[in-house]
Amino acid sequence: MLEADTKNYLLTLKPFQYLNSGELDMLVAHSKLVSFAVGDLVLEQGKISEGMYIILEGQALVAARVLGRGIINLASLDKGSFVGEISLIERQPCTATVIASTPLVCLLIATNYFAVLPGFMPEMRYRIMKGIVEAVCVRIRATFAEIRSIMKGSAIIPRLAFVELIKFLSRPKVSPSKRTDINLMQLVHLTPFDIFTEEEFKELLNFTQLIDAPKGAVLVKEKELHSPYYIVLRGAVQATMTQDNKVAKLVVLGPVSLFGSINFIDNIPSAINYAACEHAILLKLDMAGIEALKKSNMLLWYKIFDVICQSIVNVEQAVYKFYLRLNSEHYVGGKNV
Amino acid sequence: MCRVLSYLGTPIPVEELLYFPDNSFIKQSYNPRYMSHLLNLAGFGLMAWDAQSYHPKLPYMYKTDKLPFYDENLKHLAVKIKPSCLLAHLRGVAYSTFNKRTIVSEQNVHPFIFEGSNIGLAHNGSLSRFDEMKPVLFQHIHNEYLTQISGTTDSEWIYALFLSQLTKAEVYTAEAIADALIKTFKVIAKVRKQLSITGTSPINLFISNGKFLAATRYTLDYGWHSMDDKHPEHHTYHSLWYTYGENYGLYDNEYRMKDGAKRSCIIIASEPLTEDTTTWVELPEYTLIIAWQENEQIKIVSKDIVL
Repeated sequence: MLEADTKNYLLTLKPFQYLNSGELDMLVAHSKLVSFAVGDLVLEQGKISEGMYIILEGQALVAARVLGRGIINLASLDKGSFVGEISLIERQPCTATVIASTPLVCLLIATNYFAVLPGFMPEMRYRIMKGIVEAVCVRIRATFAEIRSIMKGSAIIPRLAFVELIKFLSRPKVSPSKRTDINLMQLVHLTPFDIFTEEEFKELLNFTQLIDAPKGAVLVKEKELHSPYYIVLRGAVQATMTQDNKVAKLVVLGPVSLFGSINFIDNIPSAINYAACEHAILLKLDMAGIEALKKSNMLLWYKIFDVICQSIVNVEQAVYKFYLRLNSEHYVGGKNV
Repeated sequence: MCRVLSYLGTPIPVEELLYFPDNSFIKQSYNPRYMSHLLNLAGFGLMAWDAQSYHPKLPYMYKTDKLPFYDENLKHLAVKIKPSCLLAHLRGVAYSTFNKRTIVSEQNVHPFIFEGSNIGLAHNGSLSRFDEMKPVLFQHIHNEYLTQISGTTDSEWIYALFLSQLTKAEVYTAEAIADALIKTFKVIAKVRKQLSITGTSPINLFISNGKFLAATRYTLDYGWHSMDDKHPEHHTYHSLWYTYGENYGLYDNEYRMKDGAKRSCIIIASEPLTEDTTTWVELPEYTLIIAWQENEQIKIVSKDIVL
């Protein structure tokens, strides 16, 4: 379907950078070449994409209706650009419209095909996800910078430094939990953990630790590298960003949420803190556990990676939502944990 | 577990909010997008403030325990009324079982408004073990409001409690409303602590007097429901969204907010009225938002709720 130099070119693109030539051939064999005339919609804002489109020929315009700003042109795309990639990880509506501005030829990797890859090519799926989520992390960091810039001049009430120091010194600590009333296997029936079989999940639990986090306990610090991942079982955890002693709440995560630092993907310090905003019981999966899991069961590791990628896409969504809020509201924050 | 809709801004025919959008409010009674287990069939209520009407400070009111999608009276009313502020509620409650009775009646339909006040309140959520809380809660409610409670809902009690925290005024500032809401939550939290009640209890409140909208996304003991709960998705029902723009109406074949230089109107609701949610903002848990008009522009203030 594609010429050799086109395939070689594809291997330089972020979603495919970790694939080998044979894997790319397999992927292309199950993909579709799609042509668009000038003015045709490739993606429509608010609708769910049917897959990831990679531009092989032609140009497209990206525009979005942004709350409070109307319709804005965001970018012009040409060969090598890709759109709709999030649909391979999470079924979310597109946040922008992509329109062919010249006759356009794209390679479409359908979400339906990508969804069945774990059954026969889990490693290939993992490599594509890795490429995509790295690009997501780049976007998240760009939004961090914009948010921090807005926070500097915002109405968020800064916390007093000495109050913060006292709070820091007296913060409650997490501890191992001895609770026996939580049926951990229930998670297997709940999204996103329903991708695991019961045997796989039991094996995963061997690498986790049940912990008790009192209200106020810090779980992930913004600049900390190699921090653990957690699954909330009871209670709630709050994600915040800080700038000049101003603390802003991004999102609150309740039971069955998985969270951790995005630096798991790119090894660059993150800008998000996670702390228990209610007394919480969590499952902790630390980096040593993740490494041990990788060595012991690669297929299980791919599935965990899947779930982590979904959580990172959710982080992008939460960060973008907060960015919209800062541009829409007079947000003053509050006393935070 | 209920759907609520509030609007403030340029006068708008009620039918354009209730019936016409692709996720219209009436449609949310039988096909809510963000509730997968429960339908909202236990009553519909509406308050609408129109500055051109007789007694403009008081709202038009309509309440029924009938199914709203069959209600011809409601349709006729919706065509005629063009308010600048609206508060509407669809009641969704657990169905009656052998050992638990649910009472569906007009008295239990939100929004609530008492004599002596022009502030209406609607609630999405429920207080765990509410019946045990009543004997303690009443101590915090002024007699003039206590005597007006006529239904069996926790929502009406929360309304009475809220009014009891609010110092009466001709014009309410955002700070006064926020202060009264925080005090209300503090009383509820204190009573729960007294009675050792720890079950998850959402208190998404929507309040208006025609001049402002206030809404909270707040749950006491968030996340303390059992994973053995047969319907865990039930606990994600208590979402809160908003959108704003120059006008709300039919644009590009779709009922939606039109962008423009002026921010003339705002909708705050349990879920977006359009299938396209990308021009709506979802507020996170523990958030209070207040909107009002100033020089024909909508101002929005938000803060985190921390008791």
